Amino acid sequence: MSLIETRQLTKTYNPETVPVHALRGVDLCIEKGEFTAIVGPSGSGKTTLLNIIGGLDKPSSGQVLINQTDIAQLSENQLIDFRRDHIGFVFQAYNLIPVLTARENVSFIMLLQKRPAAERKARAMELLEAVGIAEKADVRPIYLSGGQQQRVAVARALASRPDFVLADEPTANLDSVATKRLLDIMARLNEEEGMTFIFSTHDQRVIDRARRIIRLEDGKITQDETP
Amino acid sequence: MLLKIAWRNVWRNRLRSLVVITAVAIGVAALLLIIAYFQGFVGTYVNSVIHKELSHLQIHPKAFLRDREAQYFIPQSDALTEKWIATFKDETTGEPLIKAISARSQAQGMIVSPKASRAVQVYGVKPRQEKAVISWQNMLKEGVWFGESQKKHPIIISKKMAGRLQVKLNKKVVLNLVSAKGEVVSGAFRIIGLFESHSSKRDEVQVLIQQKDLNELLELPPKAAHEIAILLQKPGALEKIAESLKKQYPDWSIQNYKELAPEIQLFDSQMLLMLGILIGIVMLALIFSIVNTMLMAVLERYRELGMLMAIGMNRLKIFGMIVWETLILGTAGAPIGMLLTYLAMQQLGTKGLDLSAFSKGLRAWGFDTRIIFSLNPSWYWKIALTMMLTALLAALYPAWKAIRFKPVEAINKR
Amino acid sequence: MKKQKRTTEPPFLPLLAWRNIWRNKRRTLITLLSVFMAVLLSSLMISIQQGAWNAMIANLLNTYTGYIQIHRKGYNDNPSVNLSFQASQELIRKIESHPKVQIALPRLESFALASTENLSRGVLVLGINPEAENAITNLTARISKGKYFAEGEKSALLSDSLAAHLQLQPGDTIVLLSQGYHGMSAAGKYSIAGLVHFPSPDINRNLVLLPLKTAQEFYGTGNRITSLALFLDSDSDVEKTAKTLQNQVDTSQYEVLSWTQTMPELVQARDVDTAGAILMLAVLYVIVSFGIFGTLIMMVRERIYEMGVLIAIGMKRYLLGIMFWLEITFIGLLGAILGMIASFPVVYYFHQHPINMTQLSSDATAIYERFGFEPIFPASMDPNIFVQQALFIFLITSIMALYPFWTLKKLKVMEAMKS
Repeated sequence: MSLIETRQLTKTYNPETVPVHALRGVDLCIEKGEFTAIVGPSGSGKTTLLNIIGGLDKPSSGQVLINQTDIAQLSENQLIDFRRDHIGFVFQAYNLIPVLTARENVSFIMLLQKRPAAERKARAMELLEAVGIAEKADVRPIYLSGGQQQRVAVARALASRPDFVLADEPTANLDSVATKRLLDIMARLNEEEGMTFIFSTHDQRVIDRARRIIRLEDGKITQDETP
Repeated sequence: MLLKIAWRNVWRNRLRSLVVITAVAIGVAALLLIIAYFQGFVGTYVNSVIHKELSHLQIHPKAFLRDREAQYFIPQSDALTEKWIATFKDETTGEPLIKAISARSQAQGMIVSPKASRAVQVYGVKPRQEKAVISWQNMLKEGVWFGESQKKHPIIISKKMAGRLQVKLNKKVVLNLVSAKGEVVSGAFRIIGLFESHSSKRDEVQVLIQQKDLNELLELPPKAAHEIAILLQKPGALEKIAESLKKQYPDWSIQNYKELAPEIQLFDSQMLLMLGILIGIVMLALIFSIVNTMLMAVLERYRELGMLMAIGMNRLKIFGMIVWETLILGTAGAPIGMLLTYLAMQQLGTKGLDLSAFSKGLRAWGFDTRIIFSLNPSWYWKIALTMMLTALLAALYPAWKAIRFKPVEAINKR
Repeated sequence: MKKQKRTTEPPFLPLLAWRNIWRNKRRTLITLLSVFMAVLLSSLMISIQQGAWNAMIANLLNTYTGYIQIHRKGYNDNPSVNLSFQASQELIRKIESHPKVQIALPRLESFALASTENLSRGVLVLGINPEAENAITNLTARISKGKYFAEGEKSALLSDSLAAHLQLQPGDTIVLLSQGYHGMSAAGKYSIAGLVHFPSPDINRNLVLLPLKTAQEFYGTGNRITSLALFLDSDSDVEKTAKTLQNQVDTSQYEVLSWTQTMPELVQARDVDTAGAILMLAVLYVIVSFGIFGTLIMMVRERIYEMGVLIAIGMKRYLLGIMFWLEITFIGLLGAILGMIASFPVVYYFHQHPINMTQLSSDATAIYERFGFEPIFPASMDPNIFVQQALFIFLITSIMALYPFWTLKKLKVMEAMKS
């Protein structure tokens, strides 16, 4: 039983006016523990695919099963709750709440899950240490470098104990050093905790470290390799 | 945590928030001070009316009110006065409820000086009692009160009247009246004092002489009175005493100052209406400011809001966050405004505002020229509450806008 | 380098400013709306307040006191029949030759005690020329009962509240007692020809009108009068007219006083009321001004980058400052103009159909009457009211414009472009 499974996933934008077929029947299975990159040129539909898997968008047709739950059937409000509990996000930018410190950002998601204060406090610290940023725990994002912000984002993404983490171009704004550091952490978390990571990326540095590469072109999977 | 985020968000753009907070502070302070002005105005007016004109209760024989003829009088007013003071006592403390009573005789007539004449309302008073009920010592501007002068047949008139008659202190005037028998009588009087009250209209007609002199002219018994004025220690006893007197003396009209000066009741209700409208207008003006600012704050944060929805913050919480933020923005200025008001009231509530530049206009209508501001403390809470409601109302549109974002659009816009 | 020739293109800055305002429609509209509301409310309030006072005063002047009065010198401070005078034909001709003066009516005014069998009251006795007065003040139209009188008759007109108090009807007799010219006793019996209603409750309480000759007989003044009441063709330039006339008469004998001098309490009462109203509106404007300032701040802050670019490519800073000033002034003035336009129909409506408090609230009527106001409020259509608002807004936005100028002065191009 796959963690994530899509069946005949299609997405057409502007069906009435000028239709854009972003996804043309994508069948995909992703298992627990994977460290997978979804790649493809602009317009290939990879952003769309990631959005749909992440529950941020709904397919035009087809199913999206996460742990056997077809999230395409969920309402907007149900999706929000689902994402909170099952999916972790790391975006390219604007990951963090600017007015909260690093620690508070990590606690925030657990607060949304109504977890008790003691647990929030302990886990936040634990995660910040895991990403190597514990000393900046009480600092606001504007005082952190790009790489540091992304690491906090990873900690935050993990805080809710999601089923998997979706990272959309997480390294696009980072230099090589920061990129390596970030990837090291994510790889370690993947190996040690068994956390599933799915990337959407152009960055060769990320692709090089992925264990599975899914290539999309014109809305269809053209390659699916495990190098 | 939502509250913490909301609070910090307010300070993200310090200047912009301060503008709104200052506007709220000014609005709140202005409203409270205007309310204090009007309450003070009415309070001062009521005080003047009671202590300088009508007292708490006035008693007249009903026939006298109808026909104003000297023959309808209250006999033995002295004895009555003593009896009432002794009778009406506080149940618990035993203290007398009545502070003072003045029984007066009254007549309409003409006052004549060598140069001019005027129609007047003549009051025959007992010097000590009258002074105890009406604050003549404040109003007497020149000369002396009855009893301090050796002159026979003394009279006290207003400064305005003295001007009209072209007379001064110690000059003689003649009073022409109609007696109880219906005949025209006259008597000469010497001016021993000049007064000036808060109402120029009243100054134009009122003159005072001693009760024994007036009663002699009118051919009435020396203790006869046409009007009895009662001043209470505390206004609370008003109803009780009035009721009791009404039962005891069905032929007499017993009226309290509110009935004698009906405009007092109406002041309060009209004022409340006007204040309500003013508060509404000020709140409306503030709403524009708050909405504009919050709308901007929400729209410029669309990415952040999209992110929040993406990671799992539901719409209700986001709505709530914006509402909190608006509440903080809208009400932070209120305590500051209240503090300003409190400070201003230290001066205005004690020394008051001097409007003597408008004295002629004010006195023509019977208003004092010095207004002591007075603010019932409950207004602080009422205005604060109103401000909160206003902020809540202002929150609706921005908060609604905030939850309308689609996370997809917010995130994917680079 | 040659200066660029002026082309026939539209002015560059104002156009730019105008378009910039609409980049953020919602915010501009909300700011506009707040100014609109303030101007609308202020116009309404002031129009009604001014209108009510103007009506009350005009009523008084037109039906009773006249605009200017001429007395014997010293009369105003010490009114008395002893300060009566003979108005020569020459004097009257001189006065009436002034272009603004419609007519000068002779009057004899003093106090008396009015009595019936049972009741008496101090009253104001006014001797008038029946025909001449009626021609100007239209007295006969206000007769509520009975009929008018003629010169020389021994009849009186009573104001209707007075008649009610004394329980008198037309046909009854009234006795007047007073002190006449040089101390003579004045006494007379008069039959009541009719009752008159005066709009001012104060006047209505105590007035007895007699034909002039009858009054002169009563007070023993011969053919002397106490005042000439001048009625002008309009209420403008009253003070100027009074001054001119002052210069034309013998000031050792006569005094020429406008109504503001004979009734200063009226002027003050109106001033106090106006001051109060303006104070409240000032609070409103202060709040709205903060709103405008807030908008200005937002407008400036969000365009720091753009300003950096413009300055970098060579646009002078002060020009940008002017542009912001134009933007904020456009918003302010547009709101003000719309507010004025919206207030016209409402003000016009209340101008034609004055608010009648007696219909709205009998409580309020009682208050107003006690203070001598007829509770009917027309609105004033004075264009000044509107113009003043616009000027005020203009002033506010101009002062606020200092903020963008200051920001632009401090702006460092490189930092700006990093925003």
